[in-house]
Amino acid sequence: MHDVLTVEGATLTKDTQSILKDIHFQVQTGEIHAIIGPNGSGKSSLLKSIAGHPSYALTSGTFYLNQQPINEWAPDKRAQNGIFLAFQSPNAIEGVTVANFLRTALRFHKPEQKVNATQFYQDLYALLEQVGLPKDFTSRSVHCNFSGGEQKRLELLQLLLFKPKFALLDELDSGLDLQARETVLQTIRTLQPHTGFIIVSHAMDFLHQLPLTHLYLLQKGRLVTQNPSDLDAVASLIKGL
Amino acid sequence: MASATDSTAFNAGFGLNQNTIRYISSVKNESPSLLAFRLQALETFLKLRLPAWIPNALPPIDFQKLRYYVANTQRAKKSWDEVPTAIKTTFERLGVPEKEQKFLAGVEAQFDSEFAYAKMRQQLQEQGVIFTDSNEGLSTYRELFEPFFAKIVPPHDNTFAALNSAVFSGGSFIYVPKGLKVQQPLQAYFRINAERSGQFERTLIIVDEGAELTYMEGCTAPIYDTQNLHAAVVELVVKKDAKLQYITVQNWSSNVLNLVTKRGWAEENADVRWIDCNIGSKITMKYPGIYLKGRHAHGEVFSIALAHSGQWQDTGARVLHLADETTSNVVSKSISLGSGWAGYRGKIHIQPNCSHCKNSTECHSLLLGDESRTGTLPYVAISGDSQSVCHEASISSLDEEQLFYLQQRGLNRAAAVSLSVNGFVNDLVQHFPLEYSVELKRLIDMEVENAIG
Repeated sequence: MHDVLTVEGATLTKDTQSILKDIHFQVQTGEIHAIIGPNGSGKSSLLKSIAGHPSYALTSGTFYLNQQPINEWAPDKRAQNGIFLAFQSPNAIEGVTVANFLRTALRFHKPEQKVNATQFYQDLYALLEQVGLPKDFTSRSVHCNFSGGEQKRLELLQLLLFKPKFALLDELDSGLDLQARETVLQTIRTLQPHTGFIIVSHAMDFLHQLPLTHLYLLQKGRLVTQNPSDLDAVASLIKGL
Repeated sequence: MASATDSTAFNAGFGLNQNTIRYISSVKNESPSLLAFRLQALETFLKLRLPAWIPNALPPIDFQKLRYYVANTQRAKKSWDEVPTAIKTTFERLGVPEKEQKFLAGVEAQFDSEFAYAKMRQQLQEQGVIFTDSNEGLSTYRELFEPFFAKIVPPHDNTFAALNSAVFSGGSFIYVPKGLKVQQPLQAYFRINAERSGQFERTLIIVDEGAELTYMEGCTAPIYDTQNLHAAVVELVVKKDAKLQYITVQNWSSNVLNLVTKRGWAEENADVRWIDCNIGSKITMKYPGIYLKGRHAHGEVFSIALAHSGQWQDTGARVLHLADETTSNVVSKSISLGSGWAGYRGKIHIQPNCSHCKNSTECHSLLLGDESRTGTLPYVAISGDSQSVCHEASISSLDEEQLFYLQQRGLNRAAAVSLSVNGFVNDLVQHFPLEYSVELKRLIDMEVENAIG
């Protein structure tokens, strides 16, 4: 059975400023939805509000997870229920090591499961290797003095660790070298059967390598459905804006 | 707590006068000169006034309503087996895990005003270390300790130092012989027992030339209705090329007034480090001091303070550069929850006859509630043109973007705040031994989660 994430008539404001108007779409596990649009069109805002960011007010409309409204859910409840956001530029968390942070997060994701320390580190080392980060990142402060590429790799690592039902990827491909970008592509393909993706990207060559099921153009706060096979045409439309 | 009161074998009753002091001195079989010292200190205490800058939060203290000496036994216990069940039960009630109880069993603890047990002493004796209490220190080892006793913190230093000098009992007296590097940190565990009893420990540590020592103290106390005064004095003497690290985790119950005077002497090329964490008490006023007396001496004060509603953590540092090329480093991090006040008050003084001295001071405050308060109150007096001094301060509140990130990874709000707060103090917590840092993290988690709900 597929899980379904629905955005129904979402109108969003931030500090009384209107950001998004009457957004509708539905994502099922197994699907890959791409959202493209010019800078400032509200792509990141849409992803953050689905994840429950407190700065965005949903003035009308509803988010549903499997027909259940989640507007009132705190961000952690949304996360525990399988909604994952890969941040475009995550904040540094001084003094909190990657290992401590991830172990704490896992406890909340799997409260019934005792996280065995040895197993945890073995898994973490394997994931670090997979995303191309050295082992000593376990003891680095989360996103502290990370390069742009390292930040993205840590976000990717968490996507692999949590295996969410819905992955909202906010320019996860940007700032990565070709090899790391290939890892992102592989990860998406691997997780696809059990995950629904909403991917925000400016890189058409990246999106071309994915089996997109849906494509949207976000422009002036409105989401317009496009045909995924028209990716290049839509992209050139953005350039002209 | 009736059983604890019942087990009290000696107490000086309530109130403070010459008779109280004579009683304490006689119970301890002290020399006439020590009695004279106490009586003189009482006179000093009666003459001294509280400093003008004292926080308004400090309530008037009726010294006649306090108890100044309570001992549950005259003879110090030596092993865990001999520790009365009532004390073990108290540890359990305090939630000290079994592992930590064992950890504590190897240490010196104060129960009421006397040592409850001291297992480590024999091992240390073989190395020539003297690890005893103030009474024995000033009788059996008088020649060793008396030259420094009340010299680093004389009774006239401040009101509470005078009070302590008059009525002190308990505390650790330690001597580390030349060149000995004590591998195991020495530990003390204090708790207040009888209601309205004051705690007036007196600690004197002498680390002889080239020697090294880490000393740890942790305080915790059951909750009582009435106010408790804790006015300890700690004196450190760190001789040429020696090192001393003094670590405190203070977690008194929320009715305790914790007014402590701590000062250390650092001679040539010596290293003194105070690592201080204040979580408990109603009010704490504590500014660990360092006198950098010898050339190239180095001093550090690392301070963590956490105050929840109803608490006032007035913490900081006091560093006096009295010789050339002396260096000091002060880092203070305070966390205020609810309507709590936690901040920094400090004095950095470089004397005009010194050259090439350096100080760096950092004060960072984190405010978690809308009514949380902090203050950074530095006093910096520098003379001479070859000195280098740097003072940095910041006040921040919780970073909502950071919390959103943590919550997006599944942590609930309280856990996210807790992790963020632990991150804020992590660089200082790392200086604590592992057992303490784990406990500290647990204490911070508990405090934050209580405040956040």
